[in-house]
Amino acid sequence: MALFALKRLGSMILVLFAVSVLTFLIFNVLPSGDPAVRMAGKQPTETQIEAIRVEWGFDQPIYVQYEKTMQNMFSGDMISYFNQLNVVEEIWKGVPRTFALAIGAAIIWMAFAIALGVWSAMRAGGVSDGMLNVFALIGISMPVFWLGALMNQYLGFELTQILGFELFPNGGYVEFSVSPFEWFHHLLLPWFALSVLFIGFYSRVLRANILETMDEDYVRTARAKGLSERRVMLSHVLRNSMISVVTLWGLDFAVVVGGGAILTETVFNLQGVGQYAADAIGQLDQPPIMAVTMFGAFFVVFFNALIDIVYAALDPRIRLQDGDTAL
Amino acid sequence: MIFVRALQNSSIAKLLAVVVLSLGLGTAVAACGSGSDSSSSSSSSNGGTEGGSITISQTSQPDFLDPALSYTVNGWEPMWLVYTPLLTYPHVEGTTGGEVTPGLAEDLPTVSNGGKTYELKLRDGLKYADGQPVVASDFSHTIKRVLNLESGGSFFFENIVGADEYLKAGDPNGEIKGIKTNDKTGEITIDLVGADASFSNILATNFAGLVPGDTPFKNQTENPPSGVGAYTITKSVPNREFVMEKSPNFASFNIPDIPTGHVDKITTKIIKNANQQAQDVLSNKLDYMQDPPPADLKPTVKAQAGDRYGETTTGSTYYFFMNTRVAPFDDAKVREAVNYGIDKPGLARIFAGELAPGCSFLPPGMPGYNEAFDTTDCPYGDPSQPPDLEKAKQLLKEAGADGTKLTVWGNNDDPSDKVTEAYADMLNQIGFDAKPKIIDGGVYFQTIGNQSTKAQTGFANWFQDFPHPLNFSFLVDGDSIQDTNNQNFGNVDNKQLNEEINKLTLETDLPAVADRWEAWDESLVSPPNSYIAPYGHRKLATFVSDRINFDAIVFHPLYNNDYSTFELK
Repeated sequence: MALFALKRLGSMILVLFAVSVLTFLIFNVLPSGDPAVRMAGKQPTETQIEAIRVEWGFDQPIYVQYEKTMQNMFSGDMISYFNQLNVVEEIWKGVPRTFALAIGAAIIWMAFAIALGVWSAMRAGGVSDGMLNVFALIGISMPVFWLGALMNQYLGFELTQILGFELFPNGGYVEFSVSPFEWFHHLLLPWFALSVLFIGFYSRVLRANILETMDEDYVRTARAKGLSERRVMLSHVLRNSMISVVTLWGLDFAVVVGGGAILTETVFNLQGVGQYAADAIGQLDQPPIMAVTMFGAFFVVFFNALIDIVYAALDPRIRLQDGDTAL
Repeated sequence: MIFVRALQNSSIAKLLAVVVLSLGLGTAVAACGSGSDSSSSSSSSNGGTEGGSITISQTSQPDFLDPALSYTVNGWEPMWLVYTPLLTYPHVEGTTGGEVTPGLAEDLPTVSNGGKTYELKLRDGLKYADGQPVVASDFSHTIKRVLNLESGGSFFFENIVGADEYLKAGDPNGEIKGIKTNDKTGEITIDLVGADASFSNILATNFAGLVPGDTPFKNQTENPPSGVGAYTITKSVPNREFVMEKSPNFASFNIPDIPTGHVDKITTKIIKNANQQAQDVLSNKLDYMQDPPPADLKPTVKAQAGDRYGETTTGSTYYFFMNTRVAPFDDAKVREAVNYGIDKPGLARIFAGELAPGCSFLPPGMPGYNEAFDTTDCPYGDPSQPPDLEKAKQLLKEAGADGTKLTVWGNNDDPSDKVTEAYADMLNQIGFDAKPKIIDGGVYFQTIGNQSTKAQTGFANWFQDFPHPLNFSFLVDGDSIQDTNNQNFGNVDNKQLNEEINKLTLETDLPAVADRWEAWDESLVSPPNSYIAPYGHRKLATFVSDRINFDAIVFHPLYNNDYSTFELK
């Protein structure tokens, strides 16, 4: 187990290093323009541009710039080119909001996906299965920015106009420490908006997995041994069907936590890490883009490792052997 | 996070129950408005109320909440009320609002030495919002911060003697030879390298808003320094909100032309979603939004809240540049054809009506602006009417340029992309073979401002930094052409026009030379020069909640909506 963890840590560092180099190079190779000129304002003079180049190190070789960027990131001294605010502090400000969105949405989409997936598989070929299939496809096809905008418009705005009180807030975020109820109230729509696509997708994957697993020999054996249908479903079918779903869940959750819910955060004005990334991309502001990319990459790699461990718990055939999974 | 953990441990049924319960509880939440109050208030002279608090919104965080650094309307609009410079502008609409008036200085400057020396004196008894006395050397410190922080506003002050040396030396505490101050008498003398008729306007920019002499040489956005103004920033959480409260001592200074404000507290929230902002203003959850409501919500806004919505034309010009160094725009007849072929009302529709069609380069409100030239007397026909395509086609044929391939440059910032595509269509209609080339907004002006790009034609615009024609003329001044970072995208270089700019640069009495600027503007745009193709001036909106006295709001020609005129009904 220790060797496994060490190997995982090593590969994690390698992946993060590769991501950092790639992101840095992409930003420097693509025609993103001279940051010194952009920082110098509308009517830059050569003296001013030169002073900025020297002060910010843009006159240094690219590998020196990379080294300085990484040093600044890990020492917490990374500064935005656009507004000169500390990037790490700005990301930390957004982390609780992004986590709140990600955790709530992940619970909702997983819970609904399991319920609908199991229901659908148990009634495969029936009317309800067909209807759930259609609903799932609709959910998968709906872009989150569109769904979020509709929710804001009809539930957050027009319904409030009709009722005269706010059943659902029209975007925004309230800190948990300020009011736990308002925190929950303001996150309801974002949670569901973000979950819809995943519910549709996961329920379909789970349905297919369950139907496939139900034909396995060990399921027939379990039934032949006289186990109740409920026990067969929960202990044998569902448990084995969940493996690929858990993999997906881990990776998707990591992406959302790492700032991937850009559209949801923007539509509902949650001002989390994703929205910070969106702003930075719009301004071609390299330091926050680098930092958020690394932040996201860390969570993806971390959750990937975590999933390997969860595999073993879900499937007795899978064991961590010599530091690797046997899958 | 206790709540999250509880949810993690719950079953699906429990989760559903929680959601259903929350919906039920949600019904108990009454619309609580903006959370603002109007306690401890009295009546204003406009019939409104003195005091109270309001909540307003911006779509983007101001680039900086530091007067030395901010160079966006998001920063200038609020900070105008916090950091008063030596000179400023009256808080009134129209051209009067663009006339320089004494701010923290007792009077307008005494200009001598052929327009190269400016002498001013501080008013007596001034104090910052934190109680520190204002001294003359604070002005020197203020300008040093602008230069040392490599602010976008450095350009304006590099004409001060010694500014270039100060910048190159890199020592924040070094001296700027051209600024002499006397803390005992409050006298300030500024020597310039060359005469600049717009220097009083430069002294009135937000960059020159005075800050205490001990303000650090670093970005102060998270802890904005004290200033002298109707309001002071008491809280700043970047990308979330900032709060302005009435300055405790400002009213006692009795500075003419600068109001002391009505509401006690203004909280500005950063809300990225413009739809949400508009809906919140409609339902009175927000009291004002800085950006215009989105185009698709405008009909609703006008129908439901027409009495608290208005649009005002700003000191800006949108135009197409035509590179006179590159074929076919090295031919004046081709440039004239383009001017005839532009569908200005069509372009105004792309701006959702937030563009006043026109053909003057100098914008409304600017000395030298001629309204008739911008409308009925436009040499290419009334800008509010469809274009004269036949004339345009004929001119293009005469120039032998029909069928010429063109690359039309634009950027992906809304509405530049749509405008560029429409412009390319218009060029094709008159006989060109034009294709739009849309690049990222962050690199656009660098790209077309680089001579090696050889950009033929494309999108350009300019919003005034101050209401003086010199703030526009450099965009078409032959002497300002550079190989890189060139702002004269069309490489306009006309001897007579250049000479006139040079002469007018020395004229400090702007109203006296307004007619010369008018003639310069007309010569620039009209045949046979037709150097650029202006098509209009941007309008901005004023949209407030039902709680605000809309009629009392002043839309300033430079700083837009004046928060010091916001008052509760």
